[in-house]
Amino acid sequence: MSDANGRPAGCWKEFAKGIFSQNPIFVIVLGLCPTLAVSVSIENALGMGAAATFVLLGSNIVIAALMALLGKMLSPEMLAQVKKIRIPIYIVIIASFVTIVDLLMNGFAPALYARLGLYVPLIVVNCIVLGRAEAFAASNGVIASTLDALGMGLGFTLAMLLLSTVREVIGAGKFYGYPVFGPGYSPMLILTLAPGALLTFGLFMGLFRHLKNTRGGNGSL
Amino acid sequence: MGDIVKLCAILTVVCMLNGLAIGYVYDASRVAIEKTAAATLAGSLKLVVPRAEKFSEKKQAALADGRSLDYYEGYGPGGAVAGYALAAERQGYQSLLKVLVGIDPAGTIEGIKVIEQAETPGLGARVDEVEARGTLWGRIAGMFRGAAAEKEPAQPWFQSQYKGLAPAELKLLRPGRDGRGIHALTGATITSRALTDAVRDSIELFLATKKERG
Repeated sequence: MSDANGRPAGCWKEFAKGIFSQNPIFVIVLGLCPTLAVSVSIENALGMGAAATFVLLGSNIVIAALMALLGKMLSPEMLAQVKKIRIPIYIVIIASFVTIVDLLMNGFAPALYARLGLYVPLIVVNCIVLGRAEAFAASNGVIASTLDALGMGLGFTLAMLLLSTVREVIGAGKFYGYPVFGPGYSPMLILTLAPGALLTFGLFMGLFRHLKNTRGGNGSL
Repeated sequence: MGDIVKLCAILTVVCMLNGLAIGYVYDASRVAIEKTAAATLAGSLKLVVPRAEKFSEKKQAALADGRSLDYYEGYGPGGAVAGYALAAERQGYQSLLKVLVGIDPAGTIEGIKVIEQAETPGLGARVDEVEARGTLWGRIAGMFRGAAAEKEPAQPWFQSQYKGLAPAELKLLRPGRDGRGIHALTGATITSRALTDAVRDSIELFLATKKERG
Protein backbone atom coordinates (compact mmCIF):
# COMPACT_ATOMS: atom_id res chain seq x y z
CA MET A 1 0.00 0.00 0.00
CA SER A 2 1.32 3.43 -0.87
CA ASP A 3 -0.37 6.75 -1.52
CA ALA A 4 -0.07 9.07 -4.52
CA ASN A 5 3.34 10.40 -3.45
CA GLY A 6 4.82 6.94 -3.17
CA ARG A 7 5.09 7.09 0.61
CA PRO A 8 3.80 4.08 2.52
CA ALA A 9 0.27 4.90 3.64
CA GLY A 10 0.07 5.66 7.34
CA CYS A 11 -0.90 2.85 9.64
CA TRP A 12 -3.00 5.40 11.48
CA LYS A 13 -5.08 5.96 8.38
CA GLU A 14 -5.97 2.27 8.07
CA PHE A 15 -7.02 2.29 11.68
CA ALA A 16 -8.85 5.63 11.80
CA LYS A 17 -10.94 5.30 8.65
CA GLY A 18 -13.28 2.82 10.34
CA ILE A 19 -14.15 5.27 13.09
CA PHE A 20 -15.59 8.12 11.08
CA SER A 21 -15.00 8.44 7.34
CA GLN A 22 -15.81 4.76 6.62
CA ASN A 23 -17.79 3.96 9.73
CA PRO A 24 -19.24 0.48 9.06
CA ILE A 25 -22.68 1.33 10.44
CA PHE A 26 -23.39 4.97 9.59
CA VAL A 27 -21.37 5.35 6.37
CA ILE A 28 -20.92 1.91 4.77
CA VAL A 29 -24.25 0.78 6.28
CA LEU A 30 -23.31 -2.85 6.85
CA GLY A 31 -24.27 -5.21 9.64
CA LEU A 32 -27.57 -3.54 10.44
CA CYS A 33 -29.42 -6.69 11.51
CA PRO A 34 -27.48 -7.22 14.75
CA THR A 35 -27.07 -3.46 15.21
CA LEU A 36 -30.76 -2.67 15.24
CA ALA A 37 -31.60 -5.71 17.37
CA VAL A 38 -28.92 -5.33 20.01
CA SER A 39 -28.51 -1.55 20.40
CA VAL A 40 -31.28 -1.49 22.97
CA SER A 41 -29.00 -1.13 25.97
CA ILE A 42 -25.45 0.06 26.48
CA GLU A 43 -24.39 -3.20 28.10
CA ASN A 44 -25.59 -5.18 25.06
CA ALA A 45 -23.90 -2.74 22.70
CA LEU A 46 -20.54 -3.10 24.42
CA GLY A 47 -20.85 -6.91 24.52
CA MET A 48 -21.74 -7.15 20.85
CA GLY A 49 -19.03 -4.64 19.93
CA ALA A 50 -16.34 -6.55 21.80
CA ALA A 51 -17.39 -9.94 20.41
CA ALA A 52 -17.66 -8.65 16.83
CA THR A 53 -14.29 -6.88 17.02
CA PHE A 54 -12.71 -10.11 18.19
CA VAL A 55 -14.13 -12.19 15.33
CA LEU A 56 -13.37 -9.45 12.80
CA LEU A 57 -9.76 -9.38 13.95
CA GLY A 58 -9.44 -13.16 13.69
CA SER A 59 -11.11 -13.47 10.29
CA ASN A 60 -9.19 -10.53 8.78
CA ILE A 61 -5.85 -11.96 9.92
CA VAL A 62 -6.62 -15.51 8.76
CA ILE A 63 -7.95 -14.41 5.37
CA ALA A 64 -5.12 -11.93 4.71
CA ALA A 65 -2.56 -14.60 5.63
CA LEU A 66 -4.30 -17.29 3.57
CA MET A 67 -4.54 -15.09 0.48
CA ALA A 68 -0.89 -14.05 0.78
CA LEU A 69 0.09 -17.71 1.15
CA LEU A 70 -2.00 -18.84 -1.82
CA GLY A 71 -0.57 -15.99 -3.91
CA LYS A 72 2.92 -17.37 -3.29
CA MET A 73 2.07 -21.06 -3.63
CA LEU A 74 -0.23 -21.18 -6.63
CA SER A 75 0.35 -20.31 -10.26
CA PRO A 76 -1.49 -17.19 -11.52
CA GLU A 77 -4.03 -19.27 -13.48
CA MET A 78 -4.74 -21.44 -10.46
CA LEU A 79 -5.06 -18.36 -8.24
CA ALA A 80 -7.63 -16.87 -10.59
CA GLN A 81 -9.56 -20.15 -10.33
CA VAL A 82 -9.49 -20.11 -6.55
CA LYS A 83 -10.65 -16.48 -6.50
CA LYS A 84 -13.87 -17.59 -8.20
CA ILE A 85 -14.87 -19.44 -5.04
CA ARG A 86 -13.43 -16.96 -2.56
CA ILE A 87 -16.80 -15.97 -1.05
CA PRO A 88 -17.74 -19.53 0.05
CA ILE A 89 -14.22 -19.89 1.43
CA TYR A 90 -14.60 -16.67 3.47
CA ILE A 91 -17.96 -17.81 4.80
CA VAL A 92 -16.61 -21.19 5.88
CA ILE A 93 -13.64 -19.53 7.60
CA ILE A 94 -15.78 -16.93 9.37
CA ALA A 95 -18.37 -19.47 10.52
CA SER A 96 -15.61 -21.78 11.80
CA PHE A 97 -13.98 -18.89 13.62
CA VAL A 98 -17.24 -17.93 15.31
CA THR A 99 -17.85 -21.54 16.37
CA ILE A 100 -14.32 -21.86 17.75
CA VAL A 101 -14.61 -18.59 19.69
CA ASP A 102 -17.95 -19.77 21.06
CA LEU A 103 -16.54 -23.14 22.22
CA LEU A 104 -13.35 -21.69 23.70
CA MET A 105 -15.19 -18.96 25.57
CA ASN A 106 -17.74 -21.44 26.91
CA GLY A 107 -15.04 -23.80 28.12
CA PHE A 108 -12.30 -21.55 29.41
CA ALA A 109 -13.88 -18.18 30.20
CA PRO A 110 -17.31 -19.04 31.62
CA ALA A 111 -17.75 -15.63 33.30
CA LEU A 112 -17.12 -13.84 30.02
CA TYR A 113 -19.28 -16.36 28.18
CA ALA A 114 -22.19 -15.69 30.52
CA ARG A 115 -22.14 -12.04 29.40
CA LEU A 116 -21.06 -12.29 25.75
CA GLY A 117 -22.17 -15.82 24.82
CA LEU A 118 -25.50 -14.56 23.57
CA TYR A 119 -23.88 -12.31 20.96
CA VAL A 120 -21.31 -14.67 19.51
CA PRO A 121 -23.68 -16.68 17.26
CA LEU A 122 -25.20 -13.38 16.04
CA ILE A 123 -21.84 -12.40 14.54
CA VAL A 124 -22.24 -14.98 11.77
CA VAL A 125 -24.95 -12.78 10.29
CA ASN A 126 -22.88 -9.61 10.73
CA CYS A 127 -21.91 -8.74 7.17
CA ILE A 128 -19.20 -6.32 8.34
CA VAL A 129 -16.97 -9.36 8.82
CA LEU A 130 -17.59 -10.69 5.31
CA GLY A 131 -17.48 -7.16 3.91
CA ARG A 132 -14.02 -6.46 5.31
CA ALA A 133 -12.76 -9.88 4.20
CA GLU A 134 -13.76 -9.15 0.61
CA ALA A 135 -13.06 -5.41 0.47
CA PHE A 136 -9.85 -5.25 2.44
CA ALA A 137 -8.23 -8.37 3.89
CA ALA A 138 -8.16 -10.29 0.59
CA SER A 139 -6.02 -7.65 -1.13
CA ASN A 140 -3.93 -6.28 1.74
CA GLY A 141 -1.21 -7.52 4.06
CA VAL A 142 -1.68 -9.03 7.49
CA ILE A 143 -0.61 -5.91 9.43
CA ALA A 144 -2.81 -3.55 7.43
CA SER A 145 -5.71 -6.02 7.81
CA THR A 146 -5.17 -6.17 11.56
CA LEU A 147 -5.34 -2.38 11.82
CA ASP A 148 -8.35 -2.31 9.53
CA ALA A 149 -10.15 -4.87 11.74
CA LEU A 150 -9.35 -2.95 14.92
CA GLY A 151 -10.54 0.34 13.40
CA MET A 152 -13.70 -1.15 11.96
CA GLY A 153 -14.42 -2.97 15.22
CA LEU A 154 -13.96 0.23 17.19
CA GLY A 155 -16.13 2.16 14.72
CA PHE A 156 -18.82 -0.52 15.03
CA THR A 157 -18.64 -0.43 18.83
CA LEU A 158 -18.77 3.38 18.95
CA ALA A 159 -21.75 3.45 16.59
CA MET A 160 -23.53 0.86 18.74
CA LEU A 161 -22.68 2.92 21.81
CA LEU A 162 -24.21 6.09 20.29
CA LEU A 163 -27.40 4.29 19.25
CA SER A 164 -27.80 2.43 22.51
CA THR A 165 -27.13 5.51 24.66
CA VAL A 166 -29.98 7.38 22.98
CA ARG A 167 -32.28 4.37 23.06
CA GLU A 168 -31.57 3.35 26.64
CA VAL A 169 -31.61 6.83 28.19
CA ILE A 170 -34.82 7.96 26.46
CA GLY A 171 -36.49 4.60 25.96
CA ALA A 172 -35.85 3.08 29.37
CA GLY A 173 -34.70 6.08 31.43
CA LYS A 174 -31.48 4.28 32.29
CA PHE A 175 -27.78 4.55 31.54
CA TYR A 176 -25.87 1.25 31.69
CA GLY A 177 -28.74 -0.18 33.70
CA TYR A 178 -28.83 2.63 36.26
CA PRO A 179 -31.87 4.92 36.36
CA VAL A 180 -30.97 8.45 35.19
CA PHE A 181 -34.16 10.31 35.96
CA GLY A 182 -36.31 10.19 39.06
CA PRO A 183 -39.21 7.78 39.43
CA GLY A 184 -41.49 10.40 37.81
CA TYR A 185 -40.00 9.79 34.35
CA SER A 186 -42.22 7.74 32.14
CA PRO A 187 -39.98 6.07 29.54
CA MET A 188 -40.65 6.54 25.84
CA LEU A 189 -40.93 2.80 25.22
CA ILE A 190 -41.05 2.98 21.44
CA LEU A 191 -37.33 3.75 21.35
CA THR A 192 -36.51 0.37 22.88
CA LEU A 193 -38.69 -1.41 20.32
CA ALA A 194 -38.00 -2.02 16.63
CA PRO A 195 -39.37 1.32 15.27
CA GLY A 196 -37.18 3.21 17.72
CA ALA A 197 -34.12 1.42 16.39
CA LEU A 198 -34.87 2.56 12.84
CA LEU A 199 -35.73 6.12 13.91
CA THR A 200 -32.56 6.57 15.95
CA PHE A 201 -30.46 4.94 13.27
CA GLY A 202 -31.89 7.18 10.53
CA LEU A 203 -31.23 10.33 12.51
CA PHE A 204 -27.62 9.33 13.20
CA MET A 205 -27.05 8.37 9.57
CA GLY A 206 -28.28 11.81 8.54
CA LEU A 207 -26.00 13.45 11.09
CA PHE A 208 -22.96 11.55 9.78
CA ARG A 209 -23.87 12.44 6.20
CA HIS A 210 -24.19 16.09 7.19
CA LEU A 211 -20.84 16.09 8.98
CA LYS A 212 -19.14 14.49 5.98
CA ASN A 213 -20.66 17.01 3.56
CA THR A 214 -19.78 20.06 5.63
CA ARG A 215 -16.19 18.85 5.87
CA GLY A 216 -15.80 19.22 2.13
CA GLY A 217 -16.53 15.62 1.31
CA ASN A 218 -13.13 14.17 2.21
CA GLY A 219 -14.48 13.16 5.57
CA SER A 220 -11.11 12.62 7.19
CA LEU A 221 -10.92 12.95 10.94
CA MET B 1 -16.25 -29.24 -16.55
CA GLY B 2 -12.73 -29.85 -15.30
CA ASP B 3 -12.87 -26.45 -13.62
CA ILE B 4 -15.93 -27.35 -11.62
CA VAL B 5 -14.33 -30.55 -10.34
CA LYS B 6 -11.19 -28.66 -9.38
CA LEU B 7 -13.10 -25.91 -7.57
CA CYS B 8 -15.24 -28.46 -5.75
CA ALA B 9 -12.09 -30.24 -4.63
CA ILE B 10 -10.56 -27.00 -3.29
CA LEU B 11 -13.73 -26.06 -1.45
CA THR B 12 -13.97 -29.56 -0.01
CA VAL B 13 -10.41 -29.32 1.29
CA VAL B 14 -11.11 -25.92 2.87
CA CYS B 15 -14.27 -27.25 4.55
CA MET B 16 -12.45 -30.34 5.77
CA LEU B 17 -9.65 -28.27 7.31
CA ASN B 18 -12.19 -26.07 9.06
CA GLY B 19 -14.12 -29.10 10.24
CA LEU B 20 -10.93 -30.57 11.60
CA ALA B 21 -10.12 -27.35 13.46
CA ILE B 22 -13.60 -27.17 14.98
CA GLY B 23 -13.50 -30.84 15.94
CA TYR B 24 -10.18 -30.37 17.65
CA VAL B 25 -11.34 -27.30 19.59
CA TYR B 26 -14.59 -29.04 20.53
CA ASP B 27 -12.67 -32.00 21.89
CA ALA B 28 -10.27 -29.77 23.81
CA SER B 29 -12.98 -27.66 25.41
CA ARG B 30 -15.63 -30.33 26.06
CA VAL B 31 -14.39 -31.34 29.51
CA ALA B 32 -14.13 -27.72 30.63
CA ILE B 33 -17.61 -26.97 29.30
CA GLU B 34 -19.10 -29.96 31.17
CA LYS B 35 -17.35 -28.99 34.39
CA THR B 36 -18.71 -25.45 34.17
CA ALA B 37 -22.19 -26.79 33.50
CA ALA B 38 -22.05 -29.08 36.57
CA ALA B 39 -20.91 -26.23 38.84
CA THR B 40 -23.64 -23.96 37.46
CA LEU B 41 -26.26 -26.67 38.06
CA ALA B 42 -25.21 -27.14 41.70
CA GLY B 43 -25.44 -23.38 42.30
CA SER B 44 -28.81 -23.15 40.58
CA LEU B 45 -30.31 -26.04 42.59
CA LYS B 46 -29.34 -24.33 45.83
CA LEU B 47 -30.90 -21.12 44.55
CA VAL B 48 -34.32 -22.55 43.61
CA VAL B 49 -34.74 -24.81 46.66
CA PRO B 50 -32.96 -22.76 49.36
CA ARG B 51 -34.18 -24.96 52.24
CA ALA B 52 -32.58 -28.13 50.91
CA GLU B 53 -29.11 -29.03 52.12
CA LYS B 54 -28.28 -31.63 49.55
CA PHE B 55 -29.73 -32.90 46.32
CA SER B 56 -30.31 -36.28 44.72
CA GLU B 57 -28.88 -37.25 41.39
CA LYS B 58 -31.03 -36.51 38.36
CA LYS B 59 -34.29 -38.49 38.44
CA GLN B 60 -36.93 -38.97 35.81
CA ALA B 61 -40.69 -38.84 36.23
CA ALA B 62 -43.02 -40.24 33.56
CA LEU B 63 -45.73 -37.65 33.05
CA ALA B 64 -49.41 -38.25 32.34
CA ASP B 65 -49.06 -36.85 28.81
CA GLY B 66 -46.51 -39.50 27.88
CA ARG B 67 -43.39 -37.33 28.15
CA SER B 68 -40.86 -37.47 30.92
CA LEU B 69 -39.49 -34.79 33.18
CA ASP B 70 -36.07 -34.62 34.79
CA TYR B 71 -36.07 -33.52 38.39
CA TYR B 72 -33.89 -33.38 41.48
CA GLU B 73 -35.01 -34.13 45.03
CA GLY B 74 -33.82 -31.73 47.72
CA TYR B 75 -33.35 -33.02 51.26
CA GLY B 76 -33.67 -30.89 54.39
CA PRO B 77 -31.62 -31.15 57.61
CA GLY B 78 -33.37 -34.35 58.83
CA GLY B 79 -33.11 -36.09 55.49
CA ALA B 80 -36.77 -35.45 54.71
CA VAL B 81 -37.75 -34.16 51.28
CA ALA B 82 -37.71 -30.36 51.46
CA GLY B 83 -38.64 -29.72 47.86
CA TYR B 84 -38.08 -30.56 44.23
CA ALA B 85 -36.27 -28.86 41.40
CA LEU B 86 -37.93 -29.59 38.07
CA ALA B 87 -36.03 -29.17 34.81
CA ALA B 88 -38.68 -27.74 32.50
CA GLU B 89 -38.17 -26.61 28.95
CA ARG B 90 -40.24 -24.99 26.23
CA GLN B 91 -39.74 -23.28 22.91
CA GLY B 92 -39.54 -19.51 23.41
CA TYR B 93 -39.49 -16.88 20.69
CA GLN B 94 -36.29 -18.03 19.00
CA SER B 95 -34.62 -20.48 21.34
CA LEU B 96 -35.36 -23.32 23.70
CA LEU B 97 -35.94 -21.97 27.20
CA LYS B 98 -34.58 -24.26 29.91
CA VAL B 99 -35.70 -23.42 33.41
CA LEU B 100 -35.16 -24.98 36.80
CA VAL B 101 -38.33 -24.72 38.90
CA GLY B 102 -37.97 -25.10 42.67
CA ILE B 103 -41.14 -26.11 44.56
CA ASP B 104 -41.95 -27.20 48.08
CA PRO B 105 -43.68 -30.61 48.46
CA ALA B 106 -47.12 -28.91 48.21
CA GLY B 107 -46.27 -27.29 44.88
CA THR B 108 -45.71 -23.65 45.86
CA ILE B 109 -42.82 -22.10 43.95
CA GLU B 110 -39.69 -21.43 46.00
CA GLY B 111 -37.74 -19.94 43.13
CA ILE B 112 -37.01 -20.38 39.46
CA LYS B 113 -33.85 -19.98 37.47
CA VAL B 114 -33.53 -19.81 33.71
CA ILE B 115 -30.63 -22.12 32.91
CA GLU B 116 -30.40 -21.62 29.19
CA GLN B 117 -31.92 -19.19 26.73
CA ALA B 118 -30.86 -17.36 23.60
CA GLU B 119 -33.76 -14.97 23.14
CA THR B 120 -33.48 -11.58 21.46
CA PRO B 121 -31.05 -9.36 23.38
CA GLY B 122 -32.93 -6.41 24.81
CA LEU B 123 -36.32 -8.09 24.52
CA GLY B 124 -36.76 -11.76 25.49
CA ALA B 125 -33.26 -12.00 26.92
CA ARG B 126 -34.40 -9.61 29.66
CA VAL B 127 -35.69 -12.65 31.58
CA ASP B 128 -32.15 -12.57 32.98
CA GLU B 129 -32.09 -8.80 33.55
CA VAL B 130 -31.01 -7.71 37.01
CA GLU B 131 -32.51 -4.52 38.34
CA ALA B 132 -29.93 -1.94 39.36
CA ARG B 133 -30.15 -0.53 42.84
CA GLY B 134 -30.02 3.25 43.21
CA THR B 135 -29.69 5.75 40.39
CA LEU B 136 -26.82 6.56 38.06
CA TRP B 137 -26.12 9.76 40.01
CA GLY B 138 -26.12 7.95 43.34
CA ARG B 139 -23.75 5.41 41.84
CA ILE B 140 -21.35 8.09 40.56
CA ALA B 141 -21.49 9.88 43.93
CA GLY B 142 -20.78 6.54 45.60
CA MET B 143 -17.74 6.06 43.39
CA PHE B 144 -16.31 9.39 44.59
CA ARG B 145 -17.04 8.53 48.20
CA GLY B 146 -15.15 5.30 47.65
CA ALA B 147 -18.11 3.05 48.37
CA ALA B 148 -17.59 -0.53 47.21
CA ALA B 149 -19.79 -1.92 44.47
CA GLU B 150 -22.66 -4.08 45.67
CA LYS B 151 -21.37 -7.49 46.70
CA GLU B 152 -24.16 -10.03 46.71
CA PRO B 153 -25.49 -10.70 43.21
CA ALA B 154 -29.08 -9.56 42.80
CA GLN B 155 -31.61 -11.94 41.30
CA PRO B 156 -33.30 -11.19 37.97
CA TRP B 157 -36.53 -9.32 38.74
CA PHE B 158 -38.59 -11.16 36.15
CA GLN B 159 -37.77 -14.56 37.63
CA SER B 160 -38.27 -13.47 41.25
CA GLN B 161 -41.92 -12.71 40.43
CA TYR B 162 -42.59 -16.45 40.46
CA LYS B 163 -41.54 -16.94 44.07
CA GLY B 164 -44.38 -17.84 46.44
CA LEU B 165 -46.99 -18.40 43.74
CA ALA B 166 -49.10 -21.55 43.40
CA PRO B 167 -49.28 -23.13 39.93
CA ALA B 168 -52.87 -21.95 39.45
CA GLU B 169 -51.74 -18.34 39.88
CA LEU B 170 -49.23 -18.54 37.07
CA LYS B 171 -50.64 -16.37 34.34
CA LEU B 172 -49.58 -13.15 32.66
CA LEU B 173 -51.22 -10.02 34.11
CA ARG B 174 -52.93 -7.59 31.78
CA PRO B 175 -50.75 -4.52 31.23
CA GLY B 176 -51.19 -1.96 33.99
CA ARG B 177 -52.98 -4.38 36.32
CA ASP B 178 -51.60 -5.56 39.60
CA GLY B 179 -52.31 -8.68 41.58
CA ARG B 180 -50.93 -12.18 41.91
CA GLY B 181 -49.43 -13.21 38.63
CA ILE B 182 -46.57 -12.41 36.29
CA HIS B 183 -45.82 -9.05 34.69
CA ALA B 184 -44.77 -9.78 31.11
CA LEU B 185 -41.58 -8.31 29.68
CA THR B 186 -42.24 -5.32 27.44
CA GLY B 187 -42.04 -6.40 23.81
CA ALA B 188 -41.42 -10.03 24.72
CA THR B 189 -44.86 -11.47 25.43
CA ILE B 190 -44.05 -14.75 23.68
CA THR B 191 -41.01 -15.37 25.86
CA SER B 192 -42.88 -14.39 29.02
CA ARG B 193 -45.83 -16.64 28.19
CA ALA B 194 -43.65 -19.59 27.17
CA LEU B 195 -41.71 -19.41 30.43
CA THR B 196 -44.84 -19.05 32.55
CA ASP B 197 -46.55 -21.96 30.75
CA ALA B 198 -43.45 -24.13 31.07
CA VAL B 199 -43.28 -23.51 34.83
CA ARG B 200 -47.01 -24.07 35.41
CA ASP B 201 -47.34 -27.17 33.25
CA SER B 202 -44.27 -28.83 34.69
CA ILE B 203 -45.48 -28.34 38.27
CA GLU B 204 -49.04 -29.48 37.55
CA LEU B 205 -47.98 -32.57 35.65
CA PHE B 206 -45.32 -33.43 38.19
CA LEU B 207 -47.72 -33.13 41.15
CA ALA B 208 -50.34 -35.20 39.32
CA THR B 209 -47.76 -37.93 38.73
CA LYS B 210 -46.70 -37.85 42.38
CA LYS B 211 -50.29 -38.11 43.59
CA GLU B 212 -51.04 -41.02 41.30
CA ARG B 213 -48.16 -42.97 42.71
CA GLY B 214 -49.26 -42.13 46.26
